[in-house]
Amino acid sequence: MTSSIEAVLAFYTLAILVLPVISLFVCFIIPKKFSWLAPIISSLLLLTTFIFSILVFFTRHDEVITQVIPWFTIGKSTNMIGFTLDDISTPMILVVSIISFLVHVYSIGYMADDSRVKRYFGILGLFTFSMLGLVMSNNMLITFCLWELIGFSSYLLIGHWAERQEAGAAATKASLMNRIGDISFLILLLVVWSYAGTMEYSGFNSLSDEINLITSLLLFVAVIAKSAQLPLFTWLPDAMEGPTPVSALLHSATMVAAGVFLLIRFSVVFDSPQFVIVASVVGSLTAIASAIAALFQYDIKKILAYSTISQLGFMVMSTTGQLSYGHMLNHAFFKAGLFLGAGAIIHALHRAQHHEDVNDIRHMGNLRKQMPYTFICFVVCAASLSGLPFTSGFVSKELILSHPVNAITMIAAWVVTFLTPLYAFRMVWYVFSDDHQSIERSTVREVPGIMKFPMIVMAMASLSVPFYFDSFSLAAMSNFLLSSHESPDLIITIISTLVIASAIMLSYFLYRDKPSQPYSDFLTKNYFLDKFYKEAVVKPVLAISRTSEFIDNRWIDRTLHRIAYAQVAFSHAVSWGDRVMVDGLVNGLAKLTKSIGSLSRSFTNGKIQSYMIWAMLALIIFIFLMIFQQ
Amino acid sequence: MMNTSEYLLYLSAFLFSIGLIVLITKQNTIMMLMGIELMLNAANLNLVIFNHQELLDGQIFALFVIIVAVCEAAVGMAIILRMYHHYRTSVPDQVSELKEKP
Repeated sequence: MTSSIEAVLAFYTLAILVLPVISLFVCFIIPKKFSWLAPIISSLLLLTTFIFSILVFFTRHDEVITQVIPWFTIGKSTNMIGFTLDDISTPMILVVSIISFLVHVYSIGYMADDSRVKRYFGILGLFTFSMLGLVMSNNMLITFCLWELIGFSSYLLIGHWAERQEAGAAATKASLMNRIGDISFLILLLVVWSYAGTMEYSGFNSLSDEINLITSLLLFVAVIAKSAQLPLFTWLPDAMEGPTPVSALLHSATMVAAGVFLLIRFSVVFDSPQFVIVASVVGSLTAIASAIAALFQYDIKKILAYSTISQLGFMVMSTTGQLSYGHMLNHAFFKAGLFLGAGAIIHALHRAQHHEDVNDIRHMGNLRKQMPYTFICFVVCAASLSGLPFTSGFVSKELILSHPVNAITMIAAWVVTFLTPLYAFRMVWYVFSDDHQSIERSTVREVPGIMKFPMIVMAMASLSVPFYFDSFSLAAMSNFLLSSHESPDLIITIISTLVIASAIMLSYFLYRDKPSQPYSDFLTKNYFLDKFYKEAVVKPVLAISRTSEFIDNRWIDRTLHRIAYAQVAFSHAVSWGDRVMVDGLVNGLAKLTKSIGSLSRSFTNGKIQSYMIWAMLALIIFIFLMIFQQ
Repeated sequence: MMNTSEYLLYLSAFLFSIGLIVLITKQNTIMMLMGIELMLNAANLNLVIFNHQELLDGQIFALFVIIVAVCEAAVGMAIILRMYHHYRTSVPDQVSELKEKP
């Protein structure tokens, strides 16, 4: 490794990080008159980011490149800021930048009529930047900052259509749910700082077993919130209120992937058996529960949301062996493709002036002939999601199936393998298959090319990745993927293919005729978890706040009022004393002087006769004194 | 003899008192001058009473007093005339330019 390569890589990495931020600033600076330029400029910037990430991917070979500069010093320990390019971060950078670029391109078409397109593209840039930064970070503090930025920008994007009350509520819910994880992350930072003395990732190696377990569990709680695992997954279906391209980005490469990515990043360090059991149990339960929930939804975006949760659970339960890394990358492509397809369908139905609920799959159907490109891309991505052979999902899924972490994950993996094709192809039958009872579709047109192109790329990525998997992805990942695990068993491949095929057959027989009965609330409303949270958390919090408001009004305010009244009364007394006593004394003196003055003046009142009286009086007194003195 | 002069002294005191009361109570300046004349005459009477037997000093003194009183009356009347000219009144209470106005 020469230092010139390192310098070149540092330049590329800096460019990757800076370009999305430039996109953010350009979108906010650009005048309102030229707001049509914002999508084009930011897409071009993201294209450049993508090109740079390709360069990084092919410039770097097997070596781990770390570049740090001192950030700040507390006491004797210096905090370093920098990036690490290794087998884990480099492929992720590539995936994030390409998906972000494609979502930008897709959004040019999807958000064409939106009035706040500047803001939208700016925040997409911020979103991309924070995920890219998180991926290549090697410092827990930086990671936390970017983790928060991801949450913040997703909050803004989910609530993009702020005029809709549901969007605002969903954004707030996502943000609040993520706060739980953030608290855990913050405690993790404190623990790491106090025990390892450094925030850098390398500091984790020096932790003792107990602290290691504690930090791993703290990180896991943060991941549960961010990656929508079982107790805290309810924000993700609600986050569908945001624009569909945002969902595509959020579900594939950025928001929810951040949690799983950190788990994978730390899977070498966090390997205590208790943590593995917790992770596998939570992951398995999430994977199965949300796969079942996806079967009972009619909203196309919610089906995809539950599918994401299920797939994330699938990754989390097997994350300890780093097996899920490949699946995360592949999932990013096919899930983004599915969301873009769903967005295209919704967009086309909106364009065709269908005023019914365009997200409802019961109102779709007959779309295969009208939207052939969307149909093909959607089916390919659904096949990849199901794990059919010759798709990318197949390879990564086989890897997880072949190397179960323990018995729980083995059962869960097989159940999910069966359930995933069931809901995926249920969706396909509902949306695309011919249906005589459906309304005429002649007004529906295929979406424009600028939206078709990203979908086609996603579909190709979902299809073709396995063909050059060995030379492309696996070469980069082979260091930790296949060296420690042998390649998938043939028997498992055959069995899983049979399972998937039977699931697709079953879904054909179950859903070909498009039953449209409503399902029970338990299955459609997050297993009443929302209701539980409302009763157990929201209501007590509201009650507490109402009580404290009452106490505030009743006691604190009243006490304050009393004090104020007492002060007013006291000052009245003081002012009375001032007026009566002090002023009275002064005025009294003045009055006394005045009266003495007027008394003495009254003798000289200008009347001659009174002078004479006084003079006579004095004379008489004088005479009397003279007489009586003798 | 003693009795007569005693009665005359009572008369003199009575005259003096009347003069004083006139001087004090009357508003007009001329009346006040007349009060003064009465008092002077009371004093003259005293001078005459105490001296009418052996000495003549007192009686001559009384003559001087009468002459001076005439002069005084003449000067006083002149002043009163000028005052009346100037102020259109002969009441001294209404001549109050130096006093602050109530």
